[in-house]
Amino acid sequence: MTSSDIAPGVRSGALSNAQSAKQPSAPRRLAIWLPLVLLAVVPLVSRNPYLLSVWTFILLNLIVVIGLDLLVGYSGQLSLGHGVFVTIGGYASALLTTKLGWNGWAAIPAGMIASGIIAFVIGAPTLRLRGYYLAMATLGFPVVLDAVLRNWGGITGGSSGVTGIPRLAIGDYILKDAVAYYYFAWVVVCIVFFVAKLIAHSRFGLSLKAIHADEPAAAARGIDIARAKITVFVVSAVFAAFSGSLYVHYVQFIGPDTFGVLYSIMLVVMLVVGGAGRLWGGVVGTIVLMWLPELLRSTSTWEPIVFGAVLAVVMLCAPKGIAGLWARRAAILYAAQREAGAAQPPDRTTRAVAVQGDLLAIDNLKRNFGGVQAVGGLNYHIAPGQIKAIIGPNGAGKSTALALIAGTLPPSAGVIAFAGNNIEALPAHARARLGIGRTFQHIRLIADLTVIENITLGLTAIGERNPHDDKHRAAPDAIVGSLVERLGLADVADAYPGQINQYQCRLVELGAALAGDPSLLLLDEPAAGLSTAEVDQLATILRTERERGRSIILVDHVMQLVMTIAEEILVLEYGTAIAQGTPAEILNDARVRAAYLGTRNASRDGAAHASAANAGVANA
Amino acid sequence: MDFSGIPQFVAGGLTVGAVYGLVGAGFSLIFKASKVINFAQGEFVVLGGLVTYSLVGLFTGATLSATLAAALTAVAVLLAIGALLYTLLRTAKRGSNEFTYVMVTLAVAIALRGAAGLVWGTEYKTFPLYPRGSVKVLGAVVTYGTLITVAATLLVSLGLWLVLYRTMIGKAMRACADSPMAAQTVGIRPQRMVLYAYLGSAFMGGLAGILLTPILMMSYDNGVMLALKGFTAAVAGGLANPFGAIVGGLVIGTIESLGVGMISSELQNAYAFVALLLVLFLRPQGLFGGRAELAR
Repeated sequence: MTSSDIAPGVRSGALSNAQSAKQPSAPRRLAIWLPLVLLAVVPLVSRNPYLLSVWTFILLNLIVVIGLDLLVGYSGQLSLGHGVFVTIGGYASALLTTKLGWNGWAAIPAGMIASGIIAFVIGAPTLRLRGYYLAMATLGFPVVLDAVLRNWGGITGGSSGVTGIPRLAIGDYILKDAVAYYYFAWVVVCIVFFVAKLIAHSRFGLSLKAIHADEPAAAARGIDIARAKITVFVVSAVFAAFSGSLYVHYVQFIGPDTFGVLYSIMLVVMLVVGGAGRLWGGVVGTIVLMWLPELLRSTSTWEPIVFGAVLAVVMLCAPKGIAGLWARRAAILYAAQREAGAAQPPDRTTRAVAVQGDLLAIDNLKRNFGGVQAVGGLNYHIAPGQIKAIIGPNGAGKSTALALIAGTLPPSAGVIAFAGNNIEALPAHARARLGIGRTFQHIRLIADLTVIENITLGLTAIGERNPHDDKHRAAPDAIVGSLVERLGLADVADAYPGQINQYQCRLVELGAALAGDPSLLLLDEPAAGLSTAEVDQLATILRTERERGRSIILVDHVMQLVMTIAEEILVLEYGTAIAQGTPAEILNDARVRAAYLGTRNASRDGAAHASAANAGVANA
Repeated sequence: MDFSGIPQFVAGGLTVGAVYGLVGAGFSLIFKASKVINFAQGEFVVLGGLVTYSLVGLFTGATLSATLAAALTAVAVLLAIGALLYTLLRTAKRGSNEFTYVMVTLAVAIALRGAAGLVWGTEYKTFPLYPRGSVKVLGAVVTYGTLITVAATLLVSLGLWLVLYRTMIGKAMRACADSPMAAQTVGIRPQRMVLYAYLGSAFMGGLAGILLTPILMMSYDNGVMLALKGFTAAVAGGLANPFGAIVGGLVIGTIESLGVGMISSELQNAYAFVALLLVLFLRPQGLFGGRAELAR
């Protein structure tokens, strides 16, 4: 069966959707630089010293806000104390230059390193957890730093701060002229923006978006969530410290009140009002909100109320901020991958096929939810290159069993050995990196990422496992490109998950799992809701993957799929195995019939349920 | 280091700790009902104290009954603010995520703090509430203020327990916390339960402010630190467990008081911060929570 005769109507419909979502043209992609270009013109228009200083402060704040966007907009973590890192950078530069006589250029990285370390200390405990722990921990942070700065007056100058901070110099030229410093700051902002864009569009940036959208799905792709969040927090803190250093070399003074509690909140407001998650949104927001107090100068006491109101209105009416009024951001384009995909793809899976004996060996695996035993004492083995299926009535513990193998849930008891190593204590992302790929019963694609980006995320699971295997490390684009072609997704590669049909979504999820080159693939009801023709096509794809050396554990109710591709079937009921054997054996097993069809005494409810299942069996 | 002062520090710690516990229970209640961290929780406390202060000035005589009337009116004002915050959150677009709600509570917190600064200025305010006098316990002078504060907190906890576990509304609230969808199918309106959570937490925040202001005085910008300490109390108690938060508050208050008394008073606000990081690092599920609490 070829792909051309599969539900043509649906396919072409989805296709035209995808085309209507065609990616921005080159001028549009350049348009995000527009705010920065306009900023370059400012001194040519007016050289009023006061206005120029406000514009300079805007540039310095942009460095912080752009870094903060990586944290807030991309990873979805909130820092309400980012001003602290600005303060640390500022004080580091101030104290190292005035007290120890360091050169300003040497003091700047020192402040950035100090900020990074402090961010790590705060981030490590708070970012391991899901939720707004970082936000709360950072909320009180400025108050604490304020107390420290005033308390250690001998070093920090206490409440009066540090004065006489030297200006930066390039060779013999001292950056004293306001216009010169403005352009210096502008160049720095452009570089920072460029670096942030590189980070945002890297696979690390995609990982952050995935974490933001769906942590369990991200873990299944092999992403180490805690590490990624801590990393981006440290990066954003380093950006902030850089800004603080540049501030003190410009104003030549810093005190405990320079970047107070309200400043930290302001940073978040500027970012969110402009539109988090798009980088240039923060640029627009900063410009708008920095000028707002200038316009409101006669009523400056109302400032916090106005900021609060603006923030509330934006969040309620346009949660994606000013930038959200424009269409979706530019995506990774498929063209590059398509070319790379034309190269010879690896024929077989490169991992772990050389295992002697069982690839996966489960011994007495148990999982309780309160008093309910979802999985009770499961023993299970699968050899390399085998396809096995698990079936059973709803609530039999099938999905729980898969979650236990994938590491989404910790087991209550039991041993899981994969390729000879015990893995039951490992987190989900570590298991993905060992070569366990999975799909979810309810499709969990990242709505904010295109098809190709969703699949690219799965590459993370290849990780650092095979450092000497250049085949994968050299050409990630080739892996993704060949997968997209193989799964027949080339036409929708640049579409978003919301624009493609159910079957294509299933394939994208499968593709994301396959991108990690798993030796064991766990599929949770991949055929649910698919047409007969689509199920056949899926069966063909799965057989091909087995020929590449992968083992597959399939959980499904669709007997058309289970009976045709599984070599062996395990039947679960109430968390325990009631039968195990070839499809033919299972069809004739009395206990299986009882579980599905009920016995004569079974309730009507059970019988109704069973007749549905029976229809599936008869189909096969 | 002088250890003879410890009982006195503990007595002082339990007083502020009871207040932190009330703030923390407010966090817990809203988090339990809607998975949202309400950043305006600290402002509830500030407004509870400052509104009472102004009303005490209005009601002449400053008798105990006038003060109590002022306090009751302040509680009513706080309930109205809680309901307004809830109403504001309800206007969010369909399908808004937690981030939106959290940011709106933050926006309200910023605006309320700004408004408090405009109305009451930057000075610390206070009003008399507790009868003078004290009892001696283990060598510590325990004022009636301390006794009343701790007693009021325990009374509120008991009341909360009765509501949650002995009334239909409480059972409905707990059902919603567990699964709003399942609760809906038996005729419970989940949004109504979230409203009750906001009312309950505005009440506890306001009460905390009324109890605290006569002891430590109140300024418009105290909300941030009160929120941090209340949140620490809530996390120590397991975040979704209001009773754990009360106990957590007493622990945090005592730690802070001991730190101020025996290490340094300048770093008063740093102890809760360090405690929060330590709790998150060592026991993120809280002092009483099992692992299941964390997974939820």
